[in-house]
Amino acid sequence: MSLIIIRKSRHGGVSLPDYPSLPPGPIETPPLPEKVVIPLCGGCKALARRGENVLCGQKIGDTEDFGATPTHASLSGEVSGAIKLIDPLSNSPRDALVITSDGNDEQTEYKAQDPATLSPEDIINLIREAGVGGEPPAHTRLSLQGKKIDSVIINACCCQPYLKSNTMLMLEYGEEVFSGINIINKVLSPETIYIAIGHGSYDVIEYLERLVKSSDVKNIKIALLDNKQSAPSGKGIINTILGRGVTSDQTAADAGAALFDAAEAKAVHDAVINGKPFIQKIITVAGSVRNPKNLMVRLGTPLSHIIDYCGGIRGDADEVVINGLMAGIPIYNPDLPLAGWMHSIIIEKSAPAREYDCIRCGRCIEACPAHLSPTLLAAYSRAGRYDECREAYIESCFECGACAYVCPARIPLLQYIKIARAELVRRKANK
Amino acid sequence: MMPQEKQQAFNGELVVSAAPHRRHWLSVSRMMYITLLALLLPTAAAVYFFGYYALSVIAVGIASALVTEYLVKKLRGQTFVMDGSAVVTGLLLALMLPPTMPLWMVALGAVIAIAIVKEAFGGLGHYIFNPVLGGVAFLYACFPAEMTTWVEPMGFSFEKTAAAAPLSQAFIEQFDKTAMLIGNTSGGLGETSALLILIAGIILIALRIIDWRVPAAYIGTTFFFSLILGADPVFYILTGGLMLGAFFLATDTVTTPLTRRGRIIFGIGGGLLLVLIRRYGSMPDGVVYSILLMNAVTPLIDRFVKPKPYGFKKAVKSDA
Repeated sequence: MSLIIIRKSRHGGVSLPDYPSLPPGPIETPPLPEKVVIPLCGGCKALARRGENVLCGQKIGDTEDFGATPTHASLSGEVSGAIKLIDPLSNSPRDALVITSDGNDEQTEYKAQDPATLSPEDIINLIREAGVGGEPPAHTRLSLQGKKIDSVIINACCCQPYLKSNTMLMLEYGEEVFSGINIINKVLSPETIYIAIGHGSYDVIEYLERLVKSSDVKNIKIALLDNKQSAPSGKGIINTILGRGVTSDQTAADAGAALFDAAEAKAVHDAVINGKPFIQKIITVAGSVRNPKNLMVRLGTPLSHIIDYCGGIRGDADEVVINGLMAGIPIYNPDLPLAGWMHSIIIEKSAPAREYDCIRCGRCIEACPAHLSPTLLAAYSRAGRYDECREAYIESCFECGACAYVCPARIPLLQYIKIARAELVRRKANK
Repeated sequence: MMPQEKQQAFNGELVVSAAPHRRHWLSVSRMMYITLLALLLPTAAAVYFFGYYALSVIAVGIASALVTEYLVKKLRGQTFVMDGSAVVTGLLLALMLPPTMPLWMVALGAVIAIAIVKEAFGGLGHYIFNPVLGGVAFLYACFPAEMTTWVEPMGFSFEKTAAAAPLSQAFIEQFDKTAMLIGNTSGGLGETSALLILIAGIILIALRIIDWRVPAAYIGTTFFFSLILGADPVFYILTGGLMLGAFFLATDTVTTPLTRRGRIIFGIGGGLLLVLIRRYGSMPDGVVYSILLMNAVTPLIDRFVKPKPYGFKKAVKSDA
């Protein structure tokens, strides 16, 4: 049994051209911002009042709900305000605390632990306590409640243009990631753990191979994916590696798999071994900025602060896209705080394209890794025929953006599909 | 050094547009223009073999298609977009006509193709029959004599020598297979040179502008089915409008099925119909009607040939 296995996209996907201006490593740490804005999770109660002084790492929001995660201060200083903030991911308002830095960056006491002495339940609680997020939050993916899991997938790919944060994370914090993987391994004890690496990241593979060989863990495999961008996106990676399709109303656990990001594995390590909460994140800043960089940034830092540190916007670029050019979210307010789900900021010159009517070329169908007919879904969505969208299996879509990328008629297929899915979710909630 | 520029960027409004923020280079108009470039090969053959007649028919075909498209768009209150599709329609229509076709008939065919078959159904992306073939079918119905008047290739001269009709027994006696391959025979303007059409088609297939499955299934079926029915398959493939039809008309994305499997069914059906019409029909050539009939079947094929959904082990309950 070889350590490295090769997995190709089973169907569809698009190969993207290489982009030359990859941000060069290593990971830099920008100066602390003057203030951070920390959104509280849904249903969270604020634990700090206005005017109160908090330490970095101190818990400032929590809830009784096991499915949500507590929130921590990422700076030491004074809680200077409580505001409402539009969350760009869900487009809904959320409570947020503003913390003005005192410049000292005083940390709370962190309690280091030895995972060997902890039960799986203790570990899960530690991870929840540390606020390791994700969708759904990492600790809920670790507590199975009766479901059987035989495979764990750690996603360490960077298969979109410009994105380099996972590669840099693996190269600079590989041991922490590996230690986090071992903790996940201990909790879930799956048959196999797959560490998914993107095509071309051979330095990462070499490094990982050494790590795995020098450890006594036997159930790890390194899965080398091809350079199709949709291979590693979302739940699609489960199909790419295991050949099991997962629809949006199923969880990964329904397919017997658990899915973690490499950054989450590192957060798990920090939470359990060091007792540190999840308050910083590695991100890529690229595109039309003067100095593209990989950065270690505190959560809640205004994006404008990060862009300024990278030398500001270059030329006449006017679009700020979060999380990749294929399916990323453009933001309208550069002062939004950095959230845990963000892994990149790309600055672009917007390029409006003329939209034609569908010429039925079928390219979107060939590109779709979920075997859908995006053009039909978009047509139904445009006509408001959302029930027909569902009958056409819209819930299988994991929003990789391949269809809209290849569309010669420049139809925003992904956007139409997102609209229909949001509407279907709303209807389900209202029922 | 940057504050001024930076401020400008942030005080100015940020643009929010739908993902993805990168697009594949191939757009609809680029597809059309690349198709046009590929069509230059059979067009060059047409001009080489039929000289002034070819030039005038092609010019009239393209011009009347463009003018019609412009006028119809104005009438419908839409903006005219120069996406190249009308030029492709006009050129293809001209290439399917006999060299000595009266020019006003060429213009009428182009008007019908654009105004009725294309725009009356909603324009690019919405028509259900290939506009070129619709126009040609109209001309067949109205002017059967002119549509079947064939001349020998004359080059740049005005001499008209009557020649055998393509696919007739006399045609085999008059021309050998090399001439059929090169295109030095009687026939539709751009239909004669099988070789150049093949090269143009392969270029389009290599650029992934057209799907190889349609011409492969169409020509392949024609070959084997004509063999079974006792016709000369090579003769069937090299003469008439089959090559042009297989690479440039049956591959029109708007009127062919969406899926790869569907396109194979489309090609096979077209090939069967073609051989039946050629062998037993009263029509001179079956390409036009075989593709038009398959155009009509396309929605049905799309209905039954769908990509298999992903992640659903069992069929989805429609009331789920």
